[in-house]
Amino acid sequence: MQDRYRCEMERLGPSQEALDRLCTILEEGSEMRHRRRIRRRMAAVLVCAVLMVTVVTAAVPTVREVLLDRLGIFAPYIRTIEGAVCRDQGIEIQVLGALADDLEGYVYLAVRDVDGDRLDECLTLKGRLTTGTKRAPDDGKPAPAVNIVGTGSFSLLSYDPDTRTALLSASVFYGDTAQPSRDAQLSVTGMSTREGDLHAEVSCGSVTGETLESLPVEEEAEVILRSGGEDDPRKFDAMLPRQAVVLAPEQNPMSFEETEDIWISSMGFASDGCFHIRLGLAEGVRPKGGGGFFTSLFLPGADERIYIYQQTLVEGGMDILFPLFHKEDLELLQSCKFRPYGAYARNGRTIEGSWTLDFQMEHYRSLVLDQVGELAGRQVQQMTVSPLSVTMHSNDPGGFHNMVLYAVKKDGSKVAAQPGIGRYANAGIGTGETIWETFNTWSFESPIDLEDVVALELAGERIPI
Amino acid sequence: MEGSWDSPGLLARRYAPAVYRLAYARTGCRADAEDVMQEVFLRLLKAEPVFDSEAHAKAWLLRVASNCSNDLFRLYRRRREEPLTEDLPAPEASEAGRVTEAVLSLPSRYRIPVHLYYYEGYPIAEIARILGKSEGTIKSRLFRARGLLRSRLEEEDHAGQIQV
Repeated sequence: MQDRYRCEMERLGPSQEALDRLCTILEEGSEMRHRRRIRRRMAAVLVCAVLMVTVVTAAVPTVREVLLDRLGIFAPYIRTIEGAVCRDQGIEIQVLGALADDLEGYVYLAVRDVDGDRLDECLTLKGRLTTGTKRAPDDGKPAPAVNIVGTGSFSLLSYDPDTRTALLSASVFYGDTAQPSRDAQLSVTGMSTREGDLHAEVSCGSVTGETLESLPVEEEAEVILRSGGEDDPRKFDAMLPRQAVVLAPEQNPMSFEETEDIWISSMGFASDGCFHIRLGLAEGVRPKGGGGFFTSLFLPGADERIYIYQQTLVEGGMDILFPLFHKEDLELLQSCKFRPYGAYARNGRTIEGSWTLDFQMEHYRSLVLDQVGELAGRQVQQMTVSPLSVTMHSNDPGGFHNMVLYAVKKDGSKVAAQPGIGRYANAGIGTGETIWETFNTWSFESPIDLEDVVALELAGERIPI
Repeated sequence: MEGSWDSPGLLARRYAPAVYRLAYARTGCRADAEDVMQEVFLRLLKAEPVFDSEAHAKAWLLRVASNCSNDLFRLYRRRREEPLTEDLPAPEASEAGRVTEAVLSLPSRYRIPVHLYYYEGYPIAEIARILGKSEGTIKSRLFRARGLLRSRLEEEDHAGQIQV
């Protein structure tokens, strides 16, 4: 089995496109194009962080509302960074707020189209955030600034079409090799709305047993994705209905909340007796990479048939055939949800320009706990706690890196912090001994008030503060 | 980007496929695996970890890949709210071979240990260190995974054709 598994896995390398993108990130830093799915995950973290942001502008009210909504109890402390505004190509970028603890920094910015309506909810930026310094070297020379990278670190938090303004955040990670600095510079070299990311959901509750109008599959129609049994095309072919049809468009259209680029055009049973979903695609919208969207019918309980589907490009959209679901499955289908996801190309704009903003970071000091002592069998030298994160230096040989840490509040409730990136180094190399010098990090799911925290809890043990 | 063996560029060239395959073994989805691969090297850029050997670097990358893959799973679970459970097979096994599909059909907690053992060839002690679990846990998971794989592959294959 091992040989076969290795052989099969060897055939499953990353796409050349993905490798090229990765090389571009590593070579150029600022050319990062991070998938929005990952960015949204980062945005979830940033939403927590923004609760601590202390700055906002009155110039963009809806964006202001979004920020205020996230500021929570910290809203009364808002103020404006003076002068951190830059305009080029009719696009104005304004830094709204910038905060940091000893581990990470977050910058919030508004991007507004002053001259037109070229931005939308798919806006991505290309640029660089520079702040912090490397920890001082022993030779006494000035420490270099930390450059933190391009579009992968920008997250779109909201877009307001009325004011043509987008709210974005950018992040910087200092870790234990760098430290925050007051001075910061944001340099943006371009922006684009040419790529979207579909993460949508719609209920199939309205499906009826009626046979919807169906059309024969045209000869030039392209099958772009087969899911399930693809290693044996004959097996997949055997699952397909004899009659190759697609649903006619716009029979029972439904929109997705998440985007207007893609919608349900028709959904139900075609004349082949099988369940189909026809997606409408706005002009210029195509799944990226020539493939289809990943789609699933989410049913209560496991049903392998949901992974068997075929996607065919049709005029103005895409037909998805689920060959193993028929009218006798109607009740089951009505209880499920349809969730397509994936990146796609769209008609948008690319705007090149130069926007450079200098501003100062607001720094939140951390509480430092020295000589913590033994914890779960490890020696902990130091922990630092900020409203946003916890870091730890210890001799952990592994294990802490995937444990959740908790801040215990005075009332006994706990706030979880998820493990983040860290560093494991063997300081005993060359001596024949293994001496772990480990740096672990955790980020709180929501910011904590240090005055309200009495202890940290990890691996079932408590560290009093 | 070139330079010493621990420069991000060289590490990416050598180990991006390994990171991708581990992520694929966990997620069963090529797009997700590519996302994880990118995220792992993004974290490498940000963290600038100090490695004492290339083996250590590879283990670090695989550990972060495991964490990122689990993060992605948790993200989807939060977003999807209900049906994607730990025991559901990964959603996209269409491009995988038969053994890989069997691995992807395992409960998710078994997939990465199986991958590190059968594909990467790590010993149990090293897998335990990479994943931050005890050796007993890894042994137990591999034992159970082998049993599941055996029964699933035997259902499909002639008896004895695939030795687990």
